[in-house]
Amino acid sequence: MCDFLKEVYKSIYDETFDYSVLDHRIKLQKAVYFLENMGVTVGDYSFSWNKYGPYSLKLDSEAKKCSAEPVRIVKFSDRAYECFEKIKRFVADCGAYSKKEWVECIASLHYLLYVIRIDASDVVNELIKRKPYLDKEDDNVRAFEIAKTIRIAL
Amino acid sequence: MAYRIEFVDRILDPVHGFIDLTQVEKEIIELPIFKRLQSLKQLSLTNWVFPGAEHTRYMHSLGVMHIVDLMAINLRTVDYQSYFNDEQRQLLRLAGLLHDIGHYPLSHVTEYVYLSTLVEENQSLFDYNQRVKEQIDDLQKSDTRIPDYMKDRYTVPMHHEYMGTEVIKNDNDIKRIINKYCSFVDIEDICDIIVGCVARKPEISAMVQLIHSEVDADGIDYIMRDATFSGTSYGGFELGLLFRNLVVTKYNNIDIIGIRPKGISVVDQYLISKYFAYTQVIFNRHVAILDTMAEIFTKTLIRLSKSTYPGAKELLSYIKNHNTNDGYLKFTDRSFWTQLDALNKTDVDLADYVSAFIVEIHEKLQHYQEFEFNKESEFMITSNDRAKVYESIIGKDIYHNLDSKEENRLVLFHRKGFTSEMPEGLYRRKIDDINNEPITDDEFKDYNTKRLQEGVAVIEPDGDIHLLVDDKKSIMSFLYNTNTYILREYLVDNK
Repeated sequence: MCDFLKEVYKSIYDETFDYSVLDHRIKLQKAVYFLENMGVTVGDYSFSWNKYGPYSLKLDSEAKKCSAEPVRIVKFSDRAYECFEKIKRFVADCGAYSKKEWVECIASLHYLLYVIRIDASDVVNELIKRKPYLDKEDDNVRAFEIAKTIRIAL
Repeated sequence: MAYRIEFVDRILDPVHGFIDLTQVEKEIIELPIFKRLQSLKQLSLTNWVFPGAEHTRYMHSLGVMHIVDLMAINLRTVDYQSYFNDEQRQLLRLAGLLHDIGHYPLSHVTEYVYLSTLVEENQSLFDYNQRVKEQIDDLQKSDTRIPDYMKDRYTVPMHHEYMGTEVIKNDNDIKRIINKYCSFVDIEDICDIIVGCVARKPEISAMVQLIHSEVDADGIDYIMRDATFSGTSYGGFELGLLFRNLVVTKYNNIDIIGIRPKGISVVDQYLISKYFAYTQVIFNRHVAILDTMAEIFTKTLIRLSKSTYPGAKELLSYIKNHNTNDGYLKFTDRSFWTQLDALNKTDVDLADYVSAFIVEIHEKLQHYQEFEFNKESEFMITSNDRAKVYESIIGKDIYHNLDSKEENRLVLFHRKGFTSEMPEGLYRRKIDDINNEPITDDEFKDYNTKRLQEGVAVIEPDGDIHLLVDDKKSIMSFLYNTNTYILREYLVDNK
């Protein structure tokens, strides 16, 4: 599992995962959240709403355990590589947000839309209500359009 | 006028006797999309070993509806008041009836394949055995992992529970029948109960727990049903005593279903029965290899362009269009066997496309055969000490053979414990460790709510609430960390 998590992180963000950095932990959570919703099951995780958006306690505990272990080469499936590429594309342009805020924004909008199932017209407002620091209107609208495409059938 | 449950028909079930049906249920079970479940065996290929195990997801679904209603009728508040009205009971009955409507051919065997999409798998026996080795090597490390309690499957689109919600939302007839007879039922509530989601509507927490927790209607039915049909005795426990002790209270403003202290013994009995059902039937040496062979071959069918087995996207499109297309209705156990046979009738030489051991699996399954079990290889240990288990395994030949590149053996590794519960002190220490500092009592309450929802809460007469593992009267306070580990080798005769 450690190899997978570290390699997933590196494949998507092009940097080495370091558990001691909060931004890395948040970005790993969101990368795995996106992949799971695209039909690429990374582990038996379940995400619930947390301070920084969708969060899995199990994933966090596994990521911590992994931090001290060396990375081995992992051969992912073609489907996984496709999804890495898709995530990399939409992560690349963060607008006025930092990368961590950007993935938090997209994942949170996705969770509000598909799990909490808030009406599509209210989702962005709900995000700002829950996370006042995610206040870049144009970027939020763009993030919402991306969030709508993070499903396996699309 | 308030809705009242009235039964209009009944079905004789070998496990529970007569199962009564309301009009809405009677019409739903007549739909082709529900009858599809008659073509999904509950235990995949287990009937090749336990000949009676021919039962289907159809019978199980009726059983879950029946059991969840008995639980709802018997559930009491701490001061012995009834809890659910007839509208809520009907909602629960529908969720129980429909909870497996998105299941796969050969049940979890095929589901596992659709969920395993991260890495390239089964290209060689060496790869397969190396993954077993990784699982064994993991035992030497201290286990700092924390489970996600109350798993919500909305974020796992290929999980059968999520697929079930897609079936329900895309089926015109199910929605029409429910609206006709039960306009008070919100389809979204049914879906939340099926996938185990308490995030959207916390007030349905009690209903979700009756289908999604350590002692729920789903588990109760399958333990009883699997035992009855397989002919084993591992499904026995005092069901009536369990029902009589069901109780609900609030914790952190959320409903938590639990048992009164008098129910501890029956829950212990149930969890031990469940443990034996796995170690003696599901992990039976023949059942386990047959399931693994079917799983490996299913993966081949999905990957092989000559096969018409659907990929993930195609399967979801079957579901979206199933009102006008039979693709999903035909996605049953029969489709697996049809595809297996069809490969003989084409001009395809399987050996040109897949590894020799997969060709061998194709041959064997067509002739009701399995890989030969190496009797000397079997190693089984029950322990609560992971490091000791690891030390015991690494001295065995079977462990060293995992590095062999000879492609002539397949190793299976199973692990089963008694409960997924973790004592409160340990759970809190692990969360503190993740956070690098102690969390506050309020923060812990949020984590602990899910732990209490999923586990078996013991609710005292004064309202005090704790999990079974934290109750010294329960045998689970000793067994919570104990697992049985089984390692077996099978010989593959590559021609």
